[in-house]
Amino acid sequence: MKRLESNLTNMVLSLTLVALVAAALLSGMYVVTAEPIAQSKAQKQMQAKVEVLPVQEGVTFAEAEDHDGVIVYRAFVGEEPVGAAVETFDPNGFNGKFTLMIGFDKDGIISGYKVLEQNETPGLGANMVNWFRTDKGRQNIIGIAPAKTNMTVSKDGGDVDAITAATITSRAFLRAVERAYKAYAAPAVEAQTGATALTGATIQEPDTTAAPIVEPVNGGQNNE
Amino acid sequence: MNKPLEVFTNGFIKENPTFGLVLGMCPTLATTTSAINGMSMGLATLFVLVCSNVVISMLRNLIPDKVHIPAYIVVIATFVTMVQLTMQAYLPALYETLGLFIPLIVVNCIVLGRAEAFAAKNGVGLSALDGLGMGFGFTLSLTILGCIRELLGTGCAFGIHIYSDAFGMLLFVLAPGAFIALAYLMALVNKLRK
Amino acid sequence: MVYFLIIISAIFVNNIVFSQFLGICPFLGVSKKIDTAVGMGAAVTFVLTLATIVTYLLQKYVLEAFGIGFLQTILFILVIAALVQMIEIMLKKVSPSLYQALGVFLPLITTNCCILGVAILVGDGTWAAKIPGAEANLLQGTVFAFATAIGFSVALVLFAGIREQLAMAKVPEAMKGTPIALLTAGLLAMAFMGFSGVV
Repeated sequence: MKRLESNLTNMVLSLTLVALVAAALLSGMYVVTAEPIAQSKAQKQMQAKVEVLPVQEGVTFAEAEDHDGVIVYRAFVGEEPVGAAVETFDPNGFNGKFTLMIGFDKDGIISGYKVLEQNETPGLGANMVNWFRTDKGRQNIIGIAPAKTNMTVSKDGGDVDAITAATITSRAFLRAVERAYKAYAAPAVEAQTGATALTGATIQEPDTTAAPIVEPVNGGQNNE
Repeated sequence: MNKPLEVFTNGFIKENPTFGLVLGMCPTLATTTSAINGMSMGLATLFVLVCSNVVISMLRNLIPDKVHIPAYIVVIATFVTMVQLTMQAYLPALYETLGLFIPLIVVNCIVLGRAEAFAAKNGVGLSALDGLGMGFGFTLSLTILGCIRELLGTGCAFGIHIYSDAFGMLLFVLAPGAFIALAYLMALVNKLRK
Repeated sequence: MVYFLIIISAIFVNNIVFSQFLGICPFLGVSKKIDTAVGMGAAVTFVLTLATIVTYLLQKYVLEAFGIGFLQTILFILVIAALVQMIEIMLKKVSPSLYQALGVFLPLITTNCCILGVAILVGDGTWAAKIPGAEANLLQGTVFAFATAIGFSVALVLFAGIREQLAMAKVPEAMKGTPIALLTAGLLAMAFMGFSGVV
């Protein structure tokens, strides 16, 4: 078969056809994959939220609370509050912004954390993924209460050891933890049911800019 | 006549995309921080290469010469988007690591280069073989480079610890290490060829 | 202030060639002479800035407005290819002298991955995460694209200067050509690492 001639009709016709077939194929593909993509995104977020909590079994989450960009998901087992997963960030890492998920138990003690997004230097700042949960010196932040601890690096007179050769990242990380704790503790001052659970929190100055309080007493069941 | 075999093996050694033709340098340098990443990038490119080669070879007589480049680009971009959507759905962690470089397969010179140089002139079967050979050649070089960088930088290969990462030269995982590792690897290949 | 940060970040800290690995092919291909390097840099700056504005508007008012974000790759690359063709035709008519200077580089630009890469970064708004205070809007995105292109030109011209000297040096047989160029680029990348953390 001879190649089609390069006249105008042929050119327009062949290009349109190719483009149409491509668009149709991709739309089909999009429809097929839309569901799994949404699912894997939701699953990933859910996994991060559950992973950092002290308990993993049968956890439900209340409506998300937004405190200046820090998002608090209060967690419940049945009606019982078990703490919260807090999505926090710091804009000034070594390579810009990073986001973390930090878990607190009902007494305001850090129960776990997970790095969600970061651009830190591999092998240095990026070590924060595991650094702050490794039992060595004073670098482990899991199990400590931010309300009673000086959450700055030991170089600045604080109680936490910075990542070797990545002090800037470590400072930013601890700022993000601090921010998460403030958001977590914020509504506790006015909340009634949560008051006993958050005694440690009331020492902290209340965050006056806190978003309107969403009291998650019965919101626990409908959000899985 | 062993022409199909020749077409297939061509991409491995004689015209290896990385070491012979020096094409597709951006993903080669950017995604080889570990062996797994390099291999995944290579396989994604392999898929696009084979599919676009086959389709372009089928359409080669239906597309007028003057518009063949935009038509080829549309075909390639379609397959790239397919890879993108599939990875997002089923391999989200990998998609995040490779990130921007998945859509950038579109402008990988190897893909358009093979479409122009081979698929536009040969039959479907041979074009598919050429895509496979080139794709595997590319995957092979990326995997080797990734393996070397991972080993020197972190003491691992394919995520398995070989020696303590305390002895790792961090530089090789970072940007300069990519250039330096590829430079010496290429020099070694040049030396062996002679 | 934020514009200053964007410019410093795009040119030095996150240099597109040395830390993002975009645009390596022209970086290795047209860096043998300083003159051609300057020409290529100018052509990329011109096309990159224009292409980013066009693709950003398409992203906001076509792709996002109609919810067809999955067509991003295909639309962007076609727009860039068409844009490069149009610029070529227009330059030929309007300014033959500029066309003579940049003309040879224009066809090469379509497959330069830094154009598509930056267009996607600005379209998705992901570029802003690396710069404190930056917002992913049209003006800042354009400044970012322009500064990125300047960063590309700086890298290209620096590299060409070194390669001109290198051409006279005695290099081992196996290292000749691409390997020694890559090694030089590696050393330059190491120098650029010194900027990290500045912004």
